Amino acid sequence: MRSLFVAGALLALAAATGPVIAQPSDEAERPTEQANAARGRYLYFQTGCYACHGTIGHGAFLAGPKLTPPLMAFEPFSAQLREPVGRMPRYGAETMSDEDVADIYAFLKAIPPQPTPDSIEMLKDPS
Amino acid sequence: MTGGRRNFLKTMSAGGLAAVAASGKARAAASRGGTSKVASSVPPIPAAALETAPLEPSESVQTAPSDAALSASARAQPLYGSDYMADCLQHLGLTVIPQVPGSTFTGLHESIVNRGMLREKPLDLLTVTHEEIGVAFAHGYAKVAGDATATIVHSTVGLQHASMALYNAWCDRAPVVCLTGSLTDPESRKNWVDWMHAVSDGPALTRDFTKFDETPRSLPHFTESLVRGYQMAMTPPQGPVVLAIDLNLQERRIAKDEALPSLRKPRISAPQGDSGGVAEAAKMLAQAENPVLIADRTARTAEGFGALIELAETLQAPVIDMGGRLNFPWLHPLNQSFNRGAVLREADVILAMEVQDLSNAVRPAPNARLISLSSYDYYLKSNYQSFQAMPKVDLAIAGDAEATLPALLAALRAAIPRRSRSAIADRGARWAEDRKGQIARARREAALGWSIKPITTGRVWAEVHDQVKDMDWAIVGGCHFEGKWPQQLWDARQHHQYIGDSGGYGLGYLPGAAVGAAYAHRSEGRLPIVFGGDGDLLMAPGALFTAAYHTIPLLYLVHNNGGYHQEIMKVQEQANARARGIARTHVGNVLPGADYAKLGASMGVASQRVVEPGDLRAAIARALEVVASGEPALIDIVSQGR
Repeated sequence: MRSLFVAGALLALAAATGPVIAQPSDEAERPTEQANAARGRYLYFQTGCYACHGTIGHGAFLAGPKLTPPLMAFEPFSAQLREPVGRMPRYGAETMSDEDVADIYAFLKAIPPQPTPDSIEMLKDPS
Repeated sequence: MTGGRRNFLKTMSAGGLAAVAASGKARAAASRGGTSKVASSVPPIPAAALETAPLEPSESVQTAPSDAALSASARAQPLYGSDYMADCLQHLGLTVIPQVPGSTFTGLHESIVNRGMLREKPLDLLTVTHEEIGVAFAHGYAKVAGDATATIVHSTVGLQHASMALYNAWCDRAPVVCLTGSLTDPESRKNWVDWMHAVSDGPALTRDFTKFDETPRSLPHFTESLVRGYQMAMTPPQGPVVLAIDLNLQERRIAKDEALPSLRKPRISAPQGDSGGVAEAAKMLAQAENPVLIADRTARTAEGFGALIELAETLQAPVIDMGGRLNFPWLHPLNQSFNRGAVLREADVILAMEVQDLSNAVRPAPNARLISLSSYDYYLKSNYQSFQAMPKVDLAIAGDAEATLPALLAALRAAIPRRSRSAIADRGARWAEDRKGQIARARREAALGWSIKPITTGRVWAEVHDQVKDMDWAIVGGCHFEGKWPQQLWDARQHHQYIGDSGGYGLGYLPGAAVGAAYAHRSEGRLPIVFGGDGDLLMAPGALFTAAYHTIPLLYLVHNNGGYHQEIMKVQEQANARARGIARTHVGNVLPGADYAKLGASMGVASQRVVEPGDLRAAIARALEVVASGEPALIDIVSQGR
């Protein structure tokens, strides 16, 4: 009970201040099975994907490559999780079901288009 | 360089957040007395101290005597060994001295404040709150100033605190002169603490990662050891040295007929690679179809930076800058640092200059012929493994790269046949075209997540760049964990605009080094900027106190990602490999709830906290006003992990 309280308190703190390294969620916050993309978002954070790949899969230098855009096809995506190439942790069936993988993929697919540099004044090509 | 870039600190006016800073400046002005050039280095007495003990700066602090007056005074008063030591520091130009006070160097401390700080070219004694910060300060200072300075630490416990920072300086090839107090004579130890803080051979603690140490037995021996230590620290490969200064030697009266120190500051000429090796390297590069240049701690000065540009443009060869220093302009068409794999897979000859991790740097090019030009070959220590894995080198030239580049350039120009010029030009054009694509890609990636929370590191750097791009900015910390966006999108054209990272990746380097580097930039009127980790700041937060207390302008952006990001990823990797799940891997890795704006404010630094991406612009503008007024400013930015 105490650990749940602590986890809940830390989550509340995370929501308030927004540090990127959040704590694992508790059961009350688990989304429904039907909401694939929403559940995928939960899993994306709960299983630590965000830590290396950023909170919307935008990637991070010296951590994890960009996942989207463009999002790779589902088969190689799943294969990379199951038997990763490079230093990525292995997510076997014992820790991540096929349904989990599909939901995470659905979350990444649902991420809205991001702005282009031409739409941001300070990122425009000065030439 | 434009006048605006040269005079950042003069051209912006204070306002907004500067109100916080202004009170600090007012305190400083009040305690200075405002009349003495020398006394301007004396920091304000803290308000709390004034309330509890109504100390006023003495007349001697407010009005500095001339050297002549000091000499007259000296003739009338006895002098001490530590006066002699302070004079040595001044003569050698080791004038900026960060220190935590300690009972084994009280003699030297007194001589510095009552003699060294009152000279026409005064010493500047700075208060730091941890010996690790003192060494890091000297480390960062040296990389900007191009010259060593001294830091003083207490015996035993002080040097123990300083040791990790000395290891960083060792790995980063940075010159630092570290003086540590000592009390070697048992008859002089008054109590149990003196015994606890006594050691027979203090510098033994750091001997494995310093270039030289000595425990001088007399004042002339101190002079000799200090000059020798300075010379060894400054000669490439540069590094830290330690001198133990005995308290009895500091307290010893100098007889009237004893000479005060007379020493010369040597101009350091770096070792150059031998002419045979240079000629062979030139021939290999001239005949190569796809030569590649790899730089790391290559450019020690602006001259080295210019020489590398000349070399690259002569060969029209791509340059991979590993980032130990600013070796090559970041947006130069031949800068292929973010295209390393593709460049190296085509390489047939590689010239690596002062590259620390050479084996990994050339891993994509196992069949290319490799020339190593490096002063690292002169290193003689072996216990700590900072020398890295042994690379497969075809030609190893022991020599300082910067010192050798002019000879290599001359040999190369003579070795390149006329018929090759067209092919060389074509090579350059191809890399230049590729570079345009890399920059366009970096812009696209910086735009990703532009409006999300936590704020992306790409947006932080872009927002800062937008406001400082026309100023004389200088980044005083590494960018590896903050996306390396400046290296991709900022137009760095001068050597002083980046100084690399810690060297040894010992956490706690950044705050002290950033403040030390900012101190060195202050006299040039530059704008020092750092965007560094929350974990690094928590390791040595007292550096913010030093920046505020000594009015050192610095824009300090905190990369608040809520934890030890690198480690949480690695523990997750372990847990997944063992099929145990990652639900508990945050334990011991997170730093939830820390408020770095409050931390900064508590140290006297004008501080803000930013959570919303849209608030960044105004916060940066306010902070820049504070920095332009001559004070440090901090922004705690709740950010993505990287």
